[in-house]
Amino acid sequence: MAAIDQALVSILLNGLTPTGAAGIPGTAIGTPVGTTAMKLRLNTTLSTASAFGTEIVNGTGYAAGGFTSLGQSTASSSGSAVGVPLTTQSATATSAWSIASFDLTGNAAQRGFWGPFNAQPIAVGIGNTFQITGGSGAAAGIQISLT
Amino acid sequence: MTEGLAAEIREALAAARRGETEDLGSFARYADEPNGWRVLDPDGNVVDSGGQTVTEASADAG
Repeated sequence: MAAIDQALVSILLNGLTPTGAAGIPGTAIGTPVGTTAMKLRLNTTLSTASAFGTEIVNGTGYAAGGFTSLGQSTASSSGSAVGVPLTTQSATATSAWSIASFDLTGNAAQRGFWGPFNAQPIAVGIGNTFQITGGSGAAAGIQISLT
Repeated sequence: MTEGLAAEIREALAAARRGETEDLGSFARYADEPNGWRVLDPDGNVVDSGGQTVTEASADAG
Protein backbone atom coordinates (compact mmCIF):
# COMPACT_ATOMS: atom_id res chain seq x y z
CA MET A 1 0.00 0.00 0.00
CA ALA A 2 1.24 3.47 -0.80
CA ALA A 3 1.66 5.34 2.41
CA ILE A 4 3.22 8.63 1.53
CA ASP A 5 1.52 11.85 0.56
CA GLN A 6 1.51 12.34 -3.21
CA ALA A 7 2.99 15.82 -3.06
CA LEU A 8 5.91 14.40 -1.10
CA VAL A 9 6.28 11.61 -3.67
CA SER A 10 6.74 14.21 -6.38
CA ILE A 11 9.24 16.17 -4.32
CA LEU A 12 11.29 13.04 -3.75
CA LEU A 13 11.11 11.89 -7.37
CA ASN A 14 11.89 15.29 -8.82
CA GLY A 15 14.73 15.82 -6.39
CA LEU A 16 16.38 12.53 -7.29
CA THR A 17 15.95 12.55 -11.08
CA PRO A 18 17.09 14.89 -13.91
CA THR A 19 13.82 16.76 -14.14
CA GLY A 20 15.45 20.19 -13.79
CA ALA A 21 16.67 22.48 -16.54
CA ALA A 22 19.28 20.88 -18.84
CA GLY A 23 19.03 17.60 -16.98
CA ILE A 24 19.99 18.77 -13.55
CA PRO A 25 18.18 17.28 -10.56
CA GLY A 26 14.74 18.80 -10.27
CA THR A 27 13.22 20.59 -7.30
CA ALA A 28 15.54 20.46 -4.32
CA ILE A 29 14.15 18.18 -1.66
CA GLY A 30 14.74 20.89 0.92
CA THR A 31 12.56 20.67 4.01
CA PRO A 32 9.02 19.95 2.81
CA VAL A 33 7.93 19.05 6.34
CA GLY A 34 9.66 21.93 8.08
CA THR A 35 12.51 21.95 10.55
CA THR A 36 10.73 21.75 13.91
CA ALA A 37 9.40 18.75 15.83
CA MET A 38 7.00 16.54 13.91
CA LYS A 39 3.55 15.43 15.06
CA LEU A 40 1.47 12.27 14.86
CA ARG A 41 -2.15 12.99 14.07
CA LEU A 42 -4.97 10.55 14.83
CA ASN A 43 -7.99 10.31 12.57
CA THR A 44 -11.47 8.91 12.84
CA THR A 45 -11.62 8.28 9.08
CA LEU A 46 -9.01 6.81 6.80
CA SER A 47 -6.34 9.05 5.37
CA THR A 48 -5.63 8.76 1.67
CA ALA A 49 -2.62 9.39 -0.52
CA SER A 50 -3.81 12.93 -1.09
CA ALA A 51 -5.72 13.96 2.03
CA PHE A 52 -5.79 13.76 5.81
CA GLY A 53 -8.39 11.69 7.55
CA THR A 54 -10.83 13.55 9.81
CA GLU A 55 -9.02 14.25 13.06
CA ILE A 56 -10.35 12.92 16.34
CA VAL A 57 -11.63 15.43 18.87
CA ASN A 58 -9.33 16.51 21.68
CA GLY A 59 -8.84 14.38 24.76
CA THR A 60 -6.54 14.40 27.75
CA GLY A 61 -3.08 14.24 26.26
CA TYR A 62 -4.22 14.86 22.71
CA ALA A 63 -4.77 18.27 21.16
CA ALA A 64 -5.62 19.28 17.60
CA GLY A 65 -2.73 18.65 15.26
CA GLY A 66 -1.54 15.49 16.92
CA PHE A 67 0.79 14.03 19.48
CA THR A 68 3.93 16.06 20.04
CA SER A 69 7.17 15.04 21.73
CA LEU A 70 7.48 11.90 19.66
CA GLY A 71 11.18 11.66 20.45
CA GLN A 72 14.06 11.23 18.05
CA SER A 73 13.54 8.10 15.97
CA THR A 74 16.49 5.93 15.11
CA ALA A 75 17.69 7.01 11.68
CA SER A 76 17.37 4.71 8.69
CA SER A 77 20.53 3.08 7.44
CA SER A 78 21.01 0.93 4.36
CA GLY A 79 17.36 1.48 3.55
CA SER A 80 15.98 0.18 6.85
CA ALA A 81 12.57 1.25 8.12
CA VAL A 82 12.19 4.09 10.60
CA GLY A 83 10.21 3.35 13.76
CA VAL A 84 7.85 6.00 15.15
CA PRO A 85 7.44 7.08 17.91
CA LEU A 86 10.49 6.70 20.11
CA THR A 87 8.43 7.61 23.17
CA THR A 88 5.10 5.89 23.89
CA GLN A 89 2.22 8.25 23.17
CA SER A 90 -0.89 8.18 25.37
CA ALA A 91 -4.20 9.98 25.28
CA THR A 92 -7.39 9.48 27.30
CA ALA A 93 -10.75 9.87 25.63
CA THR A 94 -13.11 12.43 27.13
CA SER A 95 -15.65 11.55 24.44
CA ALA A 96 -15.72 8.23 22.63
CA TRP A 97 -13.15 7.80 19.88
CA SER A 98 -13.11 5.55 16.86
CA ILE A 99 -9.57 5.67 15.54
CA ALA A 100 -8.87 4.61 11.98
CA SER A 101 -5.62 6.12 10.75
CA PHE A 102 -2.68 8.40 11.40
CA ASP A 103 -0.78 11.10 9.57
CA LEU A 104 2.82 11.87 10.36
CA THR A 105 3.16 15.58 9.80
CA GLY A 106 5.48 18.50 10.10
CA ASN A 107 4.92 20.85 13.03
CA ALA A 108 2.79 23.08 10.81
CA ALA A 109 0.66 20.16 9.54
CA GLN A 110 2.67 19.48 6.39
CA ARG A 111 1.72 15.93 5.50
CA GLY A 112 4.28 13.18 5.15
CA PHE A 113 3.47 9.54 5.71
CA TRP A 114 0.08 8.16 6.59
CA GLY A 115 -1.45 4.79 7.27
CA PRO A 116 -4.43 2.87 8.63
CA PHE A 117 -3.96 1.32 12.07
CA ASN A 118 -3.76 -2.43 12.22
CA ALA A 119 -7.26 -3.79 13.06
CA GLN A 120 -8.91 -0.36 12.66
CA PRO A 121 -11.33 1.08 13.58
CA ILE A 122 -10.21 1.08 17.21
CA ALA A 123 -12.91 1.85 19.76
CA VAL A 124 -11.77 3.91 22.74
CA GLY A 125 -14.48 4.53 25.29
CA ILE A 126 -14.69 7.57 27.54
CA GLY A 127 -12.06 7.29 30.26
CA ASN A 128 -10.02 4.72 28.38
CA THR A 129 -6.53 5.46 27.14
CA PHE A 130 -5.16 4.91 23.65
CA GLN A 131 -1.43 4.30 23.36
CA ILE A 132 0.97 3.96 20.48
CA THR A 133 3.95 1.90 21.50
CA GLY A 134 7.21 3.77 21.57
CA GLY A 135 10.58 2.23 21.01
CA SER A 136 13.84 2.31 19.18
CA GLY A 137 13.82 1.09 15.58
CA ALA A 138 11.84 -2.10 15.08
CA ALA A 139 10.29 -1.84 18.56
CA ALA A 140 8.20 1.22 17.71
CA GLY A 141 4.51 0.85 17.01
CA ILE A 142 4.66 2.34 13.52
CA GLN A 143 7.22 1.26 10.96
CA ILE A 144 7.82 3.46 7.94
CA SER A 145 9.70 2.30 4.88
CA LEU A 146 10.09 2.99 1.19
CA THR A 147 10.62 -0.59 0.12
CA MET B 1 -3.50 -36.97 51.16
CA THR B 2 -6.24 -35.34 53.19
CA GLU B 3 -9.83 -35.85 52.25
CA GLY B 4 -10.13 -32.08 51.69
CA LEU B 5 -7.29 -32.02 49.18
CA ALA B 6 -8.64 -35.08 47.43
CA ALA B 7 -12.02 -33.37 47.11
CA GLU B 8 -10.39 -30.28 45.59
CA ILE B 9 -8.55 -32.42 43.05
CA ARG B 10 -11.72 -34.29 42.14
CA GLU B 11 -13.53 -31.01 41.68
CA ALA B 12 -10.74 -29.61 39.49
CA LEU B 13 -10.70 -32.72 37.33
CA ALA B 14 -14.46 -32.55 36.94
CA ALA B 15 -14.25 -28.88 35.94
CA ALA B 16 -11.55 -29.68 33.38
CA ARG B 17 -13.76 -32.38 31.88
CA ARG B 18 -16.57 -29.84 31.61
CA GLY B 19 -14.24 -27.51 29.70
CA GLU B 20 -14.21 -24.90 32.42
CA THR B 21 -10.92 -23.05 32.29
CA GLU B 22 -9.72 -19.79 33.68
CA ASP B 23 -10.69 -16.79 31.56
CA LEU B 24 -7.49 -15.51 30.00
CA GLY B 25 -9.11 -12.23 28.97
CA SER B 26 -8.81 -10.34 25.73
CA PHE B 27 -5.11 -9.60 26.04
CA ALA B 28 -4.20 -13.22 25.43
CA ARG B 29 -5.64 -13.05 21.94
CA TYR B 30 -2.96 -10.61 20.90
CA ALA B 31 -0.04 -11.99 22.82
CA ASP B 32 1.78 -13.07 19.67
CA GLU B 33 1.47 -9.76 17.83
CA PRO B 34 4.21 -7.16 17.95
CA ASN B 35 3.18 -4.16 19.99
CA GLY B 36 1.64 -1.43 17.91
CA TRP B 37 -1.17 0.14 19.83
CA ARG B 38 -3.25 -0.66 22.90
CA VAL B 39 -6.31 0.56 24.75
CA LEU B 40 -6.22 0.68 28.54
CA ASP B 41 -9.12 0.99 30.95
CA PRO B 42 -8.95 3.48 33.82
CA ASP B 43 -7.28 0.83 36.01
CA GLY B 44 -4.52 0.32 33.48
CA ASN B 45 -5.73 -3.05 32.22
CA VAL B 46 -5.30 -3.75 28.52
CA VAL B 47 -8.77 -4.08 26.99
CA ASP B 48 -7.67 -4.17 23.35
CA SER B 49 -4.45 -4.11 21.39
CA GLY B 50 -3.13 -4.50 17.88
CA GLY B 51 0.02 -5.17 15.98
CA GLN B 52 2.48 -2.78 14.46
CA THR B 53 1.37 -0.63 11.58
CA VAL B 54 3.79 -0.96 8.69
CA THR B 55 3.66 1.61 5.94
CA GLU B 56 5.36 0.88 2.67
CA ALA B 57 5.56 3.36 -0.15
CA SER B 58 7.26 1.30 -2.79
CA ALA B 59 8.78 2.62 -5.96
CA ASP B 60 7.07 0.54 -8.63
CA ALA B 61 9.36 -0.27 -11.52
CA GLY B 62 6.80 -2.46 -13.29
